Amino acid sequence: MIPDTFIDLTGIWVAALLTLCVFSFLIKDNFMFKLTEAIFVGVSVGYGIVLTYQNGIKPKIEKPLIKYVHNLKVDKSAVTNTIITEINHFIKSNKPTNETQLAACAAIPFNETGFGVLMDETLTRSSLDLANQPDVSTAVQNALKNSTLNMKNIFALEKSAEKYSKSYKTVSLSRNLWVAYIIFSLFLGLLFLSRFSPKHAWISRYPMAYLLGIGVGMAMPLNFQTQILGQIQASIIPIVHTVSGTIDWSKSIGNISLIVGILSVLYYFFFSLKKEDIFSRGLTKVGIAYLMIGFGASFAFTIMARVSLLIGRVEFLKEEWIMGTLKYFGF
Amino acid sequence: MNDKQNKESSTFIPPKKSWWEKNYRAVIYIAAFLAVLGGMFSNKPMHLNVSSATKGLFDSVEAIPKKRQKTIAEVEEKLKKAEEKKDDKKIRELKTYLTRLKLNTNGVLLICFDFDPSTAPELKPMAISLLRQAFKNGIKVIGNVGYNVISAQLAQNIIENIAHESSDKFQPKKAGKDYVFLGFRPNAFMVYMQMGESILSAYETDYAGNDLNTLPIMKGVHDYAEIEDVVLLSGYVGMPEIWMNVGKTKFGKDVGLGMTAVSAADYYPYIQSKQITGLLAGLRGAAEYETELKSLGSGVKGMRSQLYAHSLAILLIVIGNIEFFISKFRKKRK
Repeated sequence: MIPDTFIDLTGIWVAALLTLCVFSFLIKDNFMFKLTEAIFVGVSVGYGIVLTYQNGIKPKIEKPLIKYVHNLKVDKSAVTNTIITEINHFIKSNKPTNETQLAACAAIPFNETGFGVLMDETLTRSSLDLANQPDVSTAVQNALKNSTLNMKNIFALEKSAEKYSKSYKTVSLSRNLWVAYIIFSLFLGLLFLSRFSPKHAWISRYPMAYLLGIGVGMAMPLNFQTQILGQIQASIIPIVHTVSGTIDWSKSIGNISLIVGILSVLYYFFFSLKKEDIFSRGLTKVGIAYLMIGFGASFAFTIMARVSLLIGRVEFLKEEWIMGTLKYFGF
Repeated sequence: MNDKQNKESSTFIPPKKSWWEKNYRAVIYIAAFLAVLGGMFSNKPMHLNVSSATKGLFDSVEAIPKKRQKTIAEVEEKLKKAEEKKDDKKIRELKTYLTRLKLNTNGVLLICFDFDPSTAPELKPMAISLLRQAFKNGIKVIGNVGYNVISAQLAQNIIENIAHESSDKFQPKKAGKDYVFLGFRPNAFMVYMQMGESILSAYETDYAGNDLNTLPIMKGVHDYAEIEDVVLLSGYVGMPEIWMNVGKTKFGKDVGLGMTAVSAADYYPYIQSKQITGLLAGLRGAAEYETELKSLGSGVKGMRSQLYAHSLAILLIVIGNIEFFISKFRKKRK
């Protein structure tokens, strides 16, 4: 990889030197390692805060509130007139090509046209009820019924519908409720900051309780279904697996091994009984063997993961730092 | 006298260490570094057996266009029945659904990029292979981040690099038309639940700030109903559980996992129970996926270094054991 600009090259050099500073810990704890550690923590937190604001607070709180305040000033009748004008303009510019098409278009009722379906969908998305706004609804319906609608450009229709939907949000009741909900959420979120004052720290328990309550309520049934029922169901398997009348030995051995593993490991963790007889001790040992195989696999995977991280860094040093620098200077 | 004795006993003089005792750690680290570096200079072809866990995920992604065609056929069948019954509401719903399905005829894949620079060496090759496979098959891609906001920029760069890759296999892909990166929203579980109702309500804009309503790809995607497969690439324990709960159990989607090797062992039971389509375990999983895709990259390259590093580890274990037995034998003789 060749760096495009000198700034890219500088970035690679900074990253490479910081990598070497971190590796220097392997020899001895030193000032450069501590400095790199501090830079890493500082940059991560700063970057995280900015990104959380950009990806969370801005689109979910700031933008809707600003838009809502701005749209409060919009005149409802002016919005309606704009929509009707836009729809009429579209119909005029998309004249049907023959008589059959014209007849077919004219016969399609409002709700069965592509426009109707898409518009209905767009409205559903923003939780608007067209039926509760008879003046706008009637005006749009009449405009379409009296039109010679050409259905070939579905996206242009949807574009009109979107504009309609966006403008229309300004006058809906559900929008007001949505804004109230955002303010309530913001208020709950701000209560977390009460933890900074030992005297008022108890207030933070309210948003915490709200979060936990909702989280647990929603996750519990799904967790039970996925982690417990799903796994129990998967362990109810035939000991002898047959394929068109003949025994599939590899599958059967696998199934037996699975059943023995489940029972022995569960028995090992069952501490309410004394395991003194030969059978109990044997089963416990089998359980331990299964656990050890599991731990062994996990440990081997861990080594592979750590080596992978080293590979990532060495590859960066070789390809981007050394080779990249050489190529940048034309070697 | 007593003070002098105390002073003498408190000044402990450690036994003189040999050069090896002083520097053995540095030697081992340098050896590991050289082993990894040696693997990178090696061009020896590596034969990797593709495991059933990797194959499961590969086949599931490969079958996305077929899954979409099957869904379209099923919806058309349902529409016919609804028209026979003259159920207007149902007809309208099915027509809208069908319109959306036909806008992305090769299907849609949702990839959740939950990795940061510390886990990228293992998960980035997986992401690259998955994107190449999807783009090669004309599958539309939706990307998002669920756990760590820092992953967003990394994921965006990967998607853009692969989308602009012009090879014999596929033409460069366009943002908003062939793929969209939604970015990050806080509280993954709630966001994924909300996406089941409407993706537009969970993410109003994409990562670049474009209104999702204006993007052609999103005309055909309203919620999980228009998404065939979900693949989670994660370095965080707990995220797969969320996707299995929401994606598989609640919305019945095919969920595949790409995990770091450290956490991969915990998720093998879900393959046998068919709760996930497949599992890519660490760099080995990434290399297997590249092998299956016949598009070799940093995964296979990394496995050469893994081979050298593991050989060194085995050698050191053998040397350590020999040394242990020799010293034991010497002690016995004494």
